[in-house]
Amino acid sequence: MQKYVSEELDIAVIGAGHAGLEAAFAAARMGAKTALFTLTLDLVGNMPCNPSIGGTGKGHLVFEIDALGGEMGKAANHVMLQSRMLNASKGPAVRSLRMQSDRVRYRDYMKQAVEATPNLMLKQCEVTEIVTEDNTVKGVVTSFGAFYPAKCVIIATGTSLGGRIIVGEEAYESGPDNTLPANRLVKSLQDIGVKLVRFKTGTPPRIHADSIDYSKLERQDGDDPAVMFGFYPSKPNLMPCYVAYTNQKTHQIIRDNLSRSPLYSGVIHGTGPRYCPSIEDKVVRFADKERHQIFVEPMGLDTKEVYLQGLSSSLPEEVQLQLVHSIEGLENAVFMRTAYAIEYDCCDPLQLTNSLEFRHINGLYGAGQFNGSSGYEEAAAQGLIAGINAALKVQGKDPFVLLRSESYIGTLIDDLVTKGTNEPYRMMTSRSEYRLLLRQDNAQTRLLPKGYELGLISEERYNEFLKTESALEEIIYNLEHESIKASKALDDLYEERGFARTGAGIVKAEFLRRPNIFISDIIALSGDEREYDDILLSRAETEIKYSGYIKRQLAEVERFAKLEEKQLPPDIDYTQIKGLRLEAGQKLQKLRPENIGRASRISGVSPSDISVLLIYLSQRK
Amino acid sequence: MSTIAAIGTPQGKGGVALIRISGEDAFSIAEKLFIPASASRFAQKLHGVTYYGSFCDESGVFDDGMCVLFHSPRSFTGECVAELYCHGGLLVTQKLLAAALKNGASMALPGEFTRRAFINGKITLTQAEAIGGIIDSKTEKHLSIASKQANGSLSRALGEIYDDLKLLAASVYAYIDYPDEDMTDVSVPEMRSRLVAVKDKLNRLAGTHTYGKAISEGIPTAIVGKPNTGKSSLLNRLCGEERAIVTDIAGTTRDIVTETVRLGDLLLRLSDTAGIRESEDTVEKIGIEKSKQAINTAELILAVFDASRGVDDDDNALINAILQSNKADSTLCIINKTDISAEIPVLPFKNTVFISAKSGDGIEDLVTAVAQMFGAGNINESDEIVVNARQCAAIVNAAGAVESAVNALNGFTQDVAGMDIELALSALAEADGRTVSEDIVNEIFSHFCVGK
Repeated sequence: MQKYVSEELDIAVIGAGHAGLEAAFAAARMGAKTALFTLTLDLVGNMPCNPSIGGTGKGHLVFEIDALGGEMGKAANHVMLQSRMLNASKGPAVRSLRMQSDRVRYRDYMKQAVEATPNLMLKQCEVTEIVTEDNTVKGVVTSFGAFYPAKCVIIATGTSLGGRIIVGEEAYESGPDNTLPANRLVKSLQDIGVKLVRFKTGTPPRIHADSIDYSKLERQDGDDPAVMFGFYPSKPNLMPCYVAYTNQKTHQIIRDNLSRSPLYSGVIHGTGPRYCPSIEDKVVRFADKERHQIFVEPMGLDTKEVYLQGLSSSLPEEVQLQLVHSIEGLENAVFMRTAYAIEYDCCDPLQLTNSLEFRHINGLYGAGQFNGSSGYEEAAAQGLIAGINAALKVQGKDPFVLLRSESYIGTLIDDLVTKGTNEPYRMMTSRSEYRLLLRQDNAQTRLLPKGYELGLISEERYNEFLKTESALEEIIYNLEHESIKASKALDDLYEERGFARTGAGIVKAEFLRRPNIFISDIIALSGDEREYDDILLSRAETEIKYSGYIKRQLAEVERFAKLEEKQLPPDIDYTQIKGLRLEAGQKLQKLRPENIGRASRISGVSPSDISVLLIYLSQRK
Repeated sequence: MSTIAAIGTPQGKGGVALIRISGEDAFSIAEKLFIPASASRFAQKLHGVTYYGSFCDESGVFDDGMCVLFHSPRSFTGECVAELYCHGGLLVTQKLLAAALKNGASMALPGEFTRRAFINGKITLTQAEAIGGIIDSKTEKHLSIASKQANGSLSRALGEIYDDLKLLAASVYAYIDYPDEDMTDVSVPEMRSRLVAVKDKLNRLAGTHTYGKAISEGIPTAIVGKPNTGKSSLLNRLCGEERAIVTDIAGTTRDIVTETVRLGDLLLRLSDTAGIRESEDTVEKIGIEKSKQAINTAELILAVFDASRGVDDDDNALINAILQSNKADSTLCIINKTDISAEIPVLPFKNTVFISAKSGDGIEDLVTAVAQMFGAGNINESDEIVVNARQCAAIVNAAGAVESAVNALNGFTQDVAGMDIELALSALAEADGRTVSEDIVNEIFSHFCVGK
């Protein structure tokens, strides 16, 4: 209930998790007067689940966030415990960085960064109401009765919105890590016509490091040298991870107690993520697997808490204890936090546009788990875009939309707002049809100039970027124009890699395009003594080696752009188009995609429906 | 979409003719031209029931016949369809069609019924094309394949391969997206062997197209040989006496350029048959130059030699012409006149048959030899046969993409292998009409005749 009118804002951000933080940073840095509201100042940038940033597909997002001037990559670098490049051998498109992070120091870093940002206020309070008038946002009201007039509001409530924690038979209203749930806001959202759905996610137990018999676990060290997000200078790894395995006994304990799992007894109604299943899900769905991997991850330098990745569960605590104790090396594990499932309210993202603004409420934006995604990185990516767009709106400028063909961020948002999701959405490299174009190593090339234009990248960093780009161009130019002379060493190498001896020299780039030939071979053979940056060399290698595939994807991008150009007039009555299947007609009627390209990505719209639309369009002319 | 009508049976005299009307107004149009014998029964408009009555236009009743109504979506096109059966005279059929058009139907374009069936999801593109094949088929074999495929057999075969590939793509991505989960790993050698299996399947399917084309479109064929070797008798044996001429494309005069004849299950498109017929009388007309032209354009060369005369310079010139054109493998060497002489010349062709065009001895061998040359031996009764060039091209593309996925696994990385598999998937989807552009749809249906 409003009791007094407080400061007038440009932008109000609700929630200081990973989405809210990026939104607030971007908005404030673009000059908007911004307030960041959080339920508790002590958990700004909290990691209520795994103590790591990045992972497959997610690492790409962090590189992109960094290239657009976001904070996540810098924070992760700052508090890095260990860095590993996943999929290093599986190809340049799918290499993804994952960093173990010091959870407590991450929060400190983020809070200090917020405090140091001009135009940005950090406030501890519960937002209970979003005020609108004529379908336009007017501001927010807090539980203490303050009304903050605002031009734009960004909702980034994560799992706090209508949150409910469940452990076995025990359930109670709560946000993550036993914080206050944001319950009053649920009703306000419903009152202004936001359609909410209920999702579920979960987190594994945390145990005391001294209770682990590390001698029975496999040690997993970080890469040496460690790659950093944004390719900042490398830092040493500080702590190792370990790998443990479940066994038949673990699985038997789970099977014996399935009836006590709220997932199976019907206590949980929310839809959980398929991609991050609980251990009971894994045991039931992959019944023939003899064991599942458990990653034992440190939570920070100043704590003994250890995270058991892969053991997410909502079984009763006593069963959790039994099953953890059945694992070799964890026989005497002492629990510090019990695993729990959490249900929460989020919006149906089909209500949003690609700028993350609600279609029917002017100035209201959604970001992060509130939009149906899962994961810190997905949240941060959306927060950044929502923050940028809210700031642009305040400036009276056009929205900033990233395309699928230029970014994972664009792919993530387009998937959410076009296809919707019926489970928490996780980014994966397989979600991008332009994988080879959207690599971590060229994230800056793709996006940094855009970040600069938005005012989120400093002059200094931009100039540094231009220098790097021209150095890369020079390397590629040289490879295309220099040759390796004929030599016995060259012929020997040919033979060793399964080719015939040629007795002739070869242009370096042409040589590199052969399978199983690497840039290190070229440098060794040509006795090149120039100083190279390893990262640039590997980028040049990718650009040349995969040029055929890259060209093919570029052609795809063009074809795709043509479909996006085929506009679907807003007055089409899809229910009247003969030949459209009923489901497709209804979906199209509801979502009204702007063009054929978007129509083709709506689930339930088949290629033959698209044929019908194309034919319909040509007859309409 | 408008309501369309067309005559569904061949134009001309016949016992019964069919007018088909499809679209929203099909039933109301039928009501205006059909006076049922029992108005109360017809008023029920039951699905698939035959009603007897008479046909009329504004000048009155002109014929009697039957009307069958099919309710949407349980019809061929998926729309409401009325089928009217009248007597098969040219005038009466035209009158009935005119009445339908006058009452609001528009004239169907060629293939429009089938096209509507396709876009209403009643049939897949391969089924639609197979329907075209049934209409066009000139050989028994083509007809039986086309009718099998109209029921979806090729679609199913392609669908299975498609699902295989989809599963593989999913494994590749699971492997990439869950590097930590040992439960999703598919080993690279396993992926490779499964891809090779898919590639073999696709190549096998594409390989049937040689045969498929031979039974549907026919093989461009040249009969060559020096004068008086019996080309003319062979030709008569192939088409004249068996009366198997299917089309006379250029007319009935001496300008005949091509005749299509049936040879077992296959069709041969014989070029320059006029020349051959004349050549028996006017020896000098068929020079070696002319033979060379025929050899170059043909995919099957029936080279006729005279067993009774031995090999002379003219024969050698012909043999050289064939060898120089690189057509030895496409050549069937026919040693004729075995009824006169048993002397067997040794010639540099791997396909050889001995016949007597006059008595008919050995013609069976010739039929078998040609069928073997065009892949019949590699095809089992149960195999799908790709008759359609568009489908074949898409299948070849898919096979190429799978091959390049295999290569990517060998020398490159899984991420590009995944891209190649996706490319193969989209090529296959195109073969079966799962994804089609407007152009392809229009192209396909433009080949149909009106009424289908």
